Amino acid sequence: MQEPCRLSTAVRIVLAVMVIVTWCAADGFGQVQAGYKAPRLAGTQHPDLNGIWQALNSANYDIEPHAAAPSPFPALMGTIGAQPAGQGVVEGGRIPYQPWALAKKKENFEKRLARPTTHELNETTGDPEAKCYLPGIPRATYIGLPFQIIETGSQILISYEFASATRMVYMDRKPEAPANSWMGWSIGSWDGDTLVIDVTAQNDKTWFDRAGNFHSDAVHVVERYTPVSPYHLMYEATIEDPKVFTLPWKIRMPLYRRIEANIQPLEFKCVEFSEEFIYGSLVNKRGQ
Amino acid sequence: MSHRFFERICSLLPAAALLTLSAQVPAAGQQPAPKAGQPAANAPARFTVPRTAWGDPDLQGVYTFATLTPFQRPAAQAGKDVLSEEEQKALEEQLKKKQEENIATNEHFSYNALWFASDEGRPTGRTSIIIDPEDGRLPPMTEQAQKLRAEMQAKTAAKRIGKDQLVDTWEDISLYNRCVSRPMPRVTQEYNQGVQILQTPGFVTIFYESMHDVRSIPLDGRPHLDSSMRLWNGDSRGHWEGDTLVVDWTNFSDRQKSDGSAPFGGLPQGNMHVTERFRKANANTLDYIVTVEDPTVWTRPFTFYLPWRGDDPTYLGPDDLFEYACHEGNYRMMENSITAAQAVRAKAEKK
Amino acid sequence: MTKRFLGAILTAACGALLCVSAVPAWAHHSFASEYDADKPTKIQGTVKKVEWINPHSWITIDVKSPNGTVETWEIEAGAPNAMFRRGFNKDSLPVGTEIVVTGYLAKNGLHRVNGRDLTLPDGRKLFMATSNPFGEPEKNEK
Repeated sequence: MQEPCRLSTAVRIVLAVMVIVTWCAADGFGQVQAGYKAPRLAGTQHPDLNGIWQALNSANYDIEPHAAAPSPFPALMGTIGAQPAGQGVVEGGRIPYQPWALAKKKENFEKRLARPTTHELNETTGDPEAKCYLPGIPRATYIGLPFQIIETGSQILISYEFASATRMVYMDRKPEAPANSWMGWSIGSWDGDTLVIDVTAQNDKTWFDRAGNFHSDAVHVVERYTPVSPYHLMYEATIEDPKVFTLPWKIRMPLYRRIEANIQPLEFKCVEFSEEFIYGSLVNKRGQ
Repeated sequence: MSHRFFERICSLLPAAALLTLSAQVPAAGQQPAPKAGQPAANAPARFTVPRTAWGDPDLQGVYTFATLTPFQRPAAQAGKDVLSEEEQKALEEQLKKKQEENIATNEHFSYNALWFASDEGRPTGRTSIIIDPEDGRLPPMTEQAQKLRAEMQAKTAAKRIGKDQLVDTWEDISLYNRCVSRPMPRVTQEYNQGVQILQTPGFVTIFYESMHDVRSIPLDGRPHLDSSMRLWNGDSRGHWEGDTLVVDWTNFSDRQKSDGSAPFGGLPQGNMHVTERFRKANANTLDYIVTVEDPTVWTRPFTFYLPWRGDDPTYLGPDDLFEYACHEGNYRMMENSITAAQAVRAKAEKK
Repeated sequence: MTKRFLGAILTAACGALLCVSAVPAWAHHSFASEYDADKPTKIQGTVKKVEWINPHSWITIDVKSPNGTVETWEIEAGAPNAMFRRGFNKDSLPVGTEIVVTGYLAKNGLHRVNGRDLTLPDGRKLFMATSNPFGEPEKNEK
């Protein structure tokens, strides 16, 4: 029989304190630094969120929990393009679809790479990511490429590498959207150190992911960006759409600062990558 | 000092001269440039450029670079670089008259006033946007560039049956109209000539309405990207010289070309090197002076001066820069073009 | 309204066109490859849908043909940004409005027209430069 572990009182106290601190610090995600206060943006009382950020998960494949799966064309690409597993970013696990909408989501998935043959089909079928169409909010946040937050005292510009998507967040005024758009209309405010962005006027043509999860043009998204360490933002988005879902629902994920020296935004101007997919069926194959 | 050094200094002299001049001119188009040897009438005190909270010159604002002044000096203005106010009015009238004729007689012109509605433009007081060479026109192209352009024109001509320009695939449409990318530096286009400058510590960011492009320009002296990395919008590095933001712009893609896509003749931009100078001339005007050099295309560098106006009533705030989702709305254009070409070819074959 | 207003707009258009160098700097919009300048047309119908989208807005109208059937026609119009800056928005052309459109037919035989001008029920014209149907104040008035 082994000697029982003997610890001095001092060590026991230290261990106890460590346990307590760890326990306090751990919520669902494990806050990295309890009570972190970000440096202020010069000339303002607000946290400086300037920088290049990126999500690090498989939400763009499927925001609900998912196992690994083959690519859409395994014979052509092998393992490349296969889907990794993910625990999902939807709070509660499942999106609360209305029954008709759940069927529509499944149809979206089946036809996600159907090449359009008419304008009507292009409007209603297929993953807009494949077409290099602007991804909308919240998908732009986790589509897999970095984005840059450019925060001034009166306005925030978020510039996404994917398709050079951008959106302006009005911080000191509340103009009205003249019409719907792909990236919506963003009005921002501060809730303490949390940046809150209210997004309306999105069109109905964007998806939440490659799994066919979708919304209508009535969708209303409220995002929250909270700095929790010098290198992490905690991102939450509440989604409401009375035409499609039975209840509002939420997604949540950390965003990571890209800390490489001299990191800069690069281009993913993907229109050219998408043209054959979108327009290929129009081309007469008579050899012209 | 090397010959190249002097070449560079000399090519920047027009820019420097104009910056000095513009400090005395209150607003483009409102007062003619002072004649040599005469103080400007009613010249205001030199404008003090405000500072950001961290002490950089503050260039921020929403602007439009729409202008009535042509990019190159028309033959009728040869030898004259500056217009008086009366001359500007007369030119405006002349242009207006010509445009009315154009609309009345040109049945093809479906792009009428509503398209250009917001971009009224104002004259800059000069006869051309180009300020160097002295004749206000683009310098001669190199032989190599002329040859390339002739080849491009021949290729376009080969895709024509009668008056019909044929589009067999999307590649027969310009990069511009395909919404792949629109060339830089941006000069006058038909509409959507809005820009916004935002500043944060260590960066100046330019947001362009057209193609919703963003250039985030670091000011920390970091080196350019590796020369093998070519971007549609190039790679920018900025620094301050007094109140002037000077930007060194390289790493342009060689693929930005083809007629319809580039502002200066539609030739490859891969060897282009651009130097920009931004300075607030007054509360409502940002002077934008740009030197373009590309020894594979132009026999010498050229410089242009395109003021950005901050007092246009249709460009008051960032919400006036509505999302320009160009590619997303292009299906019908592509469908029309490709199926039209098929119809034209089928008809031609029947004959 | 406004010769001045007309003038300002036309000069803008003119300025833009005149700044083109020998080779057209931007083959903006492939009108020639899509529409037939020799096929001007005039159609009348009720607004069914307006898409305020870039790069071109589209107005879909229902047209009653002489034999009573209804045909759907799509009219290509201008970029919306300029119109939004002048106070237009998605409610500016309500569904059900009766309009007359002149323009040019698509070469491919589809029911598509590149719109030249649009006349509203009270006679005001939209795309033409000769009047401002929405009563905007004169520009450049001092």
